[in-house]
Amino acid sequence: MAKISSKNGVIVIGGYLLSTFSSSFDTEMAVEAIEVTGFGDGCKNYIPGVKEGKITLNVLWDSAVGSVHTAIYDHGDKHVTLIPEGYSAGAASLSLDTTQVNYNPTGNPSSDIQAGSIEFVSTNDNPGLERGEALFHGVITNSTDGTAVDDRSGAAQSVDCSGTLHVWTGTGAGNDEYEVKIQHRDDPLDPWVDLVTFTLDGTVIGSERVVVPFVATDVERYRRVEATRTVGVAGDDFGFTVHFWRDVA
Amino acid sequence: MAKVSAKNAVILVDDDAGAPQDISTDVESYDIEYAVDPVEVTGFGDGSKNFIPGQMVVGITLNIYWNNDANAPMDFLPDIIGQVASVTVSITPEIGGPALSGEFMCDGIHPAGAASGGDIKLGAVHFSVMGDTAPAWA
Repeated sequence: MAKISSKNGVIVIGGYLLSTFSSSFDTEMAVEAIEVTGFGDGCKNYIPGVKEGKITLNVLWDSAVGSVHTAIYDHGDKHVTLIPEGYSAGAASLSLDTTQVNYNPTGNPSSDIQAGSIEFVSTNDNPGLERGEALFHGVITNSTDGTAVDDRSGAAQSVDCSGTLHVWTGTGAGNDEYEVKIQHRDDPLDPWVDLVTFTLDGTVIGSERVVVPFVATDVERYRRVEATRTVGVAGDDFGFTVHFWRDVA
Repeated sequence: MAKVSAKNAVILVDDDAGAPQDISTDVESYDIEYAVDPVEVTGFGDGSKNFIPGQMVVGITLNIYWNNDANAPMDFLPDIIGQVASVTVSITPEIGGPALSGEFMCDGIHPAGAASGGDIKLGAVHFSVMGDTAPAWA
């Protein structure tokens, strides 16, 4: 595989699609190394501790309603999702449940205004920076079934999973409403079964993460997004992104 | 012997199933730390500060490109971060020459990219030793 340019990266913050206003991203998917060196050991040695996750974005300023300033001036908890290579069904995506640390607009007479190097750190109980797959990224105007994506392992997994939904173009109050789900199946001939059901109805900008702990049902190998219009007569733009993650077996 | 180019290095890292994966083509550079902690034992009247060798310190840092193909770095490195079992990492700087190999944990990856060009990278990926056996040259 050729090396991949980062120029097509997709950046979504709390439901706000800010790719064109983000000049770079930097992420951390790490674990604390705890030293456990004992007398007589051959060398210093370590065991893995707690996982760590962080996303840092360099963001350009934009004060238009619904853009950069609206999205990130107030800190707080936000879901942040990146698709580093750009979107295609099943493209690798990175996502984190975060709290935003800073907002620091800067400028000088000979430069553009920058919103700053914005840091998003892990919040709540989560598995750290999720390496998953982008199941959908685009705009629809009626009920739509996404493209089926096969698991990297080519098999079902008995693990926890989660889905993150960003709505970045809402249909508007009183307009079309949608129910968005992630569905799965073990075989292309099987019927699709609901795995993750989101509560956002697509009318307003926002984001949501739903966790599905493993109890008895495997995460089947094929996944897709189903967006079903539940209210309205179709025609209103509904733009959204869905990221899916499953744990390591 | 003539000086040797680094271009033919071979780098192997186990995936979460314990299978060695050759990631050489996705590694931009490597850095091997193979050292001992110098312990100062300077006493009154000594001619200069002096030291004895302390504990050995071994670490590997790989600067890795993003590659999400099957069995490529972005495919399996996230799965070994934080896992209880160690992974074998092996670096052979020169074909046919000595290789450093041992049991490690992956401390983390740092996917990063810029809109104005450049490729996506996983950054400086550090491996710390797991277990009480020091990696060895052979």
